[in-house]
Amino acid sequence: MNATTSAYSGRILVIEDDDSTAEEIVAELTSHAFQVDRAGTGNEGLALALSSGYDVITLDRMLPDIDGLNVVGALRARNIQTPVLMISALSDVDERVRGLRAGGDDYLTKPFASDEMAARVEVLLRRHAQAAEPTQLRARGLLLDRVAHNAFYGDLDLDLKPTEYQLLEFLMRNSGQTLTRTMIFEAVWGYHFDPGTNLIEVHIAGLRKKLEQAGCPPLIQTVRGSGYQFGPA
Amino acid sequence: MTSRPARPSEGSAALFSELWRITSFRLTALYGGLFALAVVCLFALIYWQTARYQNQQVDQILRNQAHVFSSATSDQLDDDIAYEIARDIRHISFFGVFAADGRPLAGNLARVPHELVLNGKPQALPVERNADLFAQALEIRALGQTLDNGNVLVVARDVAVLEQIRQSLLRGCFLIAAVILLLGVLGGVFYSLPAVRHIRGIDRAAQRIADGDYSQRLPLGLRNRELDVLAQIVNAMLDETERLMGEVKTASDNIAHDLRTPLTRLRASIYRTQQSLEDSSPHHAALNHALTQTDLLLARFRALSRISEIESKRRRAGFSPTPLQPILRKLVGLYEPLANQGEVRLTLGAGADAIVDCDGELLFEAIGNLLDNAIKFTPAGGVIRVELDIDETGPVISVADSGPGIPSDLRKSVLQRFYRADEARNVPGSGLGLSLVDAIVRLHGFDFVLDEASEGGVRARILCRQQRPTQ
Ligand SMILES: Nc1ncnc2c1ncn2[C@@H]1O[C@H](COP(=O)(O)OP(=O)(O)OP(=O)(O)O)[C@@H](O)[C@H]1O
Ligand SMILES: [Mg+2]
Repeated sequence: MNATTSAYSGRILVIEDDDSTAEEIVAELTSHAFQVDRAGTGNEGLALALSSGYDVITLDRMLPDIDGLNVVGALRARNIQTPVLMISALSDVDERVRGLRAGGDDYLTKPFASDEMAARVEVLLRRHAQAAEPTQLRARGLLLDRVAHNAFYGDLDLDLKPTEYQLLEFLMRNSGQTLTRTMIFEAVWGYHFDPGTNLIEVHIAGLRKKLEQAGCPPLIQTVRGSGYQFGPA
Repeated sequence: MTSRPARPSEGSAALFSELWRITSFRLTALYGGLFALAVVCLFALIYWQTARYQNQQVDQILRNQAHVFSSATSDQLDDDIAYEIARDIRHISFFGVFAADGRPLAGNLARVPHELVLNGKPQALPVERNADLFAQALEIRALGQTLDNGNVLVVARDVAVLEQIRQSLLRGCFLIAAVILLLGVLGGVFYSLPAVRHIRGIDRAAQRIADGDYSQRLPLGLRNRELDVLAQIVNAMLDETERLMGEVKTASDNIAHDLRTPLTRLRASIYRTQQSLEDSSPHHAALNHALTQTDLLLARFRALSRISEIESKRRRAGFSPTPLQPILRKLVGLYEPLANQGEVRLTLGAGADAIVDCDGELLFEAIGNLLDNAIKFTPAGGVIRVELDIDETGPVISVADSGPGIPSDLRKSVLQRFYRADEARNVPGSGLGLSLVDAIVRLHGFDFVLDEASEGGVRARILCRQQRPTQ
């Protein structure tokens, strides 16, 4: 497994006033083959975001000149829909809600693991790139029916429970990307606390078992130290 | 919340015993009693003095009369006696002249009174032995003396007035003593009731402090100076304790917060090293181990920060009326695979739904921690029961397991940060789960109770009191 294998390279704008955090973000994203620009203030960031098209913006919530919330607000007011990952030292649940309500697409609290940050950027990028959501997802004979909320391997009905379906859908939609346990927990269950290691693992194990019983090849990989990834090994 | 000792608040007997514990009441009652006693003594003295004075007066009269009579001639004596008797309109004077053989010669006495010593000195006569002589008299003083001619002269006087004085004094004395006692008790009650109320307030506040609410202070009364001085001292001590506890907490929170950034960097560099290794490298296992340990540490610090974040949260911004059953169903769905893996059966009791004003996400997290514990500590083959009941206090969420349980003396300690029972050594965890639950429950103004489940293990309950706590 290598961090630079990402197939979705793109242009990223990092708006962050703290130098060491910015360096960390830029280094990590560059290692994922992204082209990265950095802005140190809100105004500078806003100007850059307005002048050239970026695929994703990472935005510090606390900037010296303007509040991060206002930066997103200004972008959205000018109908710029570039996905924004808000990064903040404020971990309060209410803060997250405010960030997302202002127009942010995802929220990460400091300090964060840089691989998790990169994973979230990739998911945002992918979501943004998919113009229309397909009603079916396919991989190696596995078919996810997003209308019937079920999956089939060949003709075999996997008979997924609602949670299992949501889990598989999240994995397949972001196929080829590393998804951390927290990201999975947030996407499938909608909660933002630390689910612990085992909890998500047993759900993945259950899903793997269902796929295996249907004769499906192993499609859910464990990414050491990070999380999981859907796709052929 | 611990059980409280029964408070003697009902019944007048109970109120009295409570009053009796108050010094001011005891003092007033005691003073009342002493004062009444002093009044009785005073009255006794007055009576004694009056009686003595009265007796001296009477005795002087008797002596004077005897002197007059004894110095008169026989003819004069009869007239004198007749005159005196006629003059005595109150019928309190008795006179008699008797021959040596006791035959009455003059006066209004039929015979010489019994037990009269003929020594010329005034003396008290036993009335009951001489009832025939002094019909209605209550007390008689008399003087008898042998005249020069051998006749016997008896002068006596009814001192009923003394008895009357004694009786009215006695009556007055009792009346006044009763009034004083009554006033004493009433005054005591009047002065002590505020103290009783004050002490009850102190009792309540002290209970809350003992239950761990260090923001409580003892109330100050209006009149109870001594109690107030004490309460102020205790309050100052509480201020200091709260400040110190706050400092310790802030210090540990700051440590947790400050260590998170370097730990995250450490984790990143381990991670990057691991990523740069060939898949076949023999160092994977060691790096994986380092990564897992760092993650554990990070999770621990995150949990610490989270607890203090929730504890310091004053706003109830995330609160909205939330149905509980969907939360429980979602939780059971989330934890069921974990329970199955541990061969424990997780069931959700069917019951009515309840809507509670709460932060659904935090409540989910709290119950999730209870489920995590139940699954962790319940051995294979056990059961875990999640239930939603409605009782008089409001909805009650309970998670009961068939595990080893928590001994009753540890039920308070396990809520402390990092506290883990000795038996939990072999089970992974950092002892922060229940602290988080407690913080979340407190934020809501709910109650968190740990006791024994009918299955033998822990029964953890969140009592969702509906009324809004005052904040
Ligand atoms: N259901 C239970 N059965 C038996 N003991 C329990 C149970 N729940 C808690 N305890 C005891 O209380 C202690 C504290 O629990 P708490 O949830 O705070 O910590 P933990 O579970 O050990 O660690 P963490 O929750 O941080 O992973 C536990 O270590 C255990 O000794
Ligand atoms: Mg726990």
